[in-house]
Amino acid sequence: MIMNHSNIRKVEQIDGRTVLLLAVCACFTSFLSTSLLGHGLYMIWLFLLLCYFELFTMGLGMLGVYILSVVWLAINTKYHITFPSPLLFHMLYRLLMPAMIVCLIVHIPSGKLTSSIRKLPIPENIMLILIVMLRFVPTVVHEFGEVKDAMKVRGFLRSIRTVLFHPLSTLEYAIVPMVFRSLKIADELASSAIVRGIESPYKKDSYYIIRLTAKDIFLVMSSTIIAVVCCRV
Amino acid sequence: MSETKGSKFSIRDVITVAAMLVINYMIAMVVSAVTLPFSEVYLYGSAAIDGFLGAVFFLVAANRVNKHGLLFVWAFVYGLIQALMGYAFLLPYFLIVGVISELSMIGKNTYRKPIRNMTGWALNSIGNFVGCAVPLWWAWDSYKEMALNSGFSQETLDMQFLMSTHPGLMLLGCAITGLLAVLGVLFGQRLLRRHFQKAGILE
Repeated sequence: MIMNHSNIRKVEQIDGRTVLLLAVCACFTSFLSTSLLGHGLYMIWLFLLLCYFELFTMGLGMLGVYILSVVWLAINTKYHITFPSPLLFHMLYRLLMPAMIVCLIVHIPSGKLTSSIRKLPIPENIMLILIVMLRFVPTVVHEFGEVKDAMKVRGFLRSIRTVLFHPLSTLEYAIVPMVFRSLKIADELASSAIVRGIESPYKKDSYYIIRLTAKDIFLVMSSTIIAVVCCRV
Repeated sequence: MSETKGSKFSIRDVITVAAMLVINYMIAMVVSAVTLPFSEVYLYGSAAIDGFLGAVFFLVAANRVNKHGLLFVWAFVYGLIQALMGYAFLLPYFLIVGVISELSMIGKNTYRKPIRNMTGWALNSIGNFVGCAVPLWWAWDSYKEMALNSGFSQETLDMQFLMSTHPGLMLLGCAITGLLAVLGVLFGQRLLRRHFQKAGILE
């Protein structure tokens, strides 16, 4: 079936390698920019990118958290408030940039991402670990919520006293189902990948056409230039 | 199959390792966020708490995969994440940590031996603790400037500088980390016996 190009989501039209380069730019800018102005400008650029890729709500949420963290950090440092520590807000606002690109990566179909990354000079096992890790984050968050609900229903989280007086038991009740569920999902994922020929020794191809388009080149170049400018501001 | 296999990781192994790594790093991030308000706990305890909590996930992966290279991959992925966070010079450091941890696992069936897992995991955790001091040794002045601009208090910086330059304090941090990593493996072994081996998930 030939799909109309306009029906494909914008995030599916770009190459996986482009998003990875955007991630590298975001990480380096987040941790190398010395001024808040430069950092904030790059954050706005990332927000605009998320809006372009139809992830407006997510981008707005992250921008909101960013502004809150920066404002709180300013108040903390101005009035020498030590609790909650400024380190916490520092970590939060530095991590939001990479998190925004992770949101973008999560929206790219895994087949497309895998075949894009396959073109990079990364050992296949490491590549697979990184892709599965990126895909697993939302699953783990969801599963942890389920385990927490189950613990509440069974009365394991009834009071803080129970948790504090029996930390190892609480840990056991949380970790064991979490690991069981994760291993089950990992097995299903492995079976699905094997059925689709991931272990085949032959050169792998993809349904997705993997090539860098003008849009990819524009995104990479503009993000790199803006990153350099923001680091120098 | 009880021998530590020297062959390549299968797709099942890779996905198992990735799943356990994700849980481990998410817990590490929560530990960092919780301990950050308390500078002493953050500096001396966060790697140790990670070592304690992460031991279960490492043991599950180790007992399931039972192949050489697991600890190397564990450290390499950690280094890669650090590199993406802007500390690119930490990648070779974590590669060395991975090699040292992996050397402690030489032999047959070592990833299913509690004592060997304890040694390997403790070395990896100590490597993570020492890794916190590497940016300071690497470029203290630029680190200090960046940290002060980002809201770090002078006391925290002084404490961090003292910790990274005083051998006694570094040894204390290593001892705390090693001890908690060992306790974590003991706790993890207990869980493995009580739940995972009984359920037939692990050998």
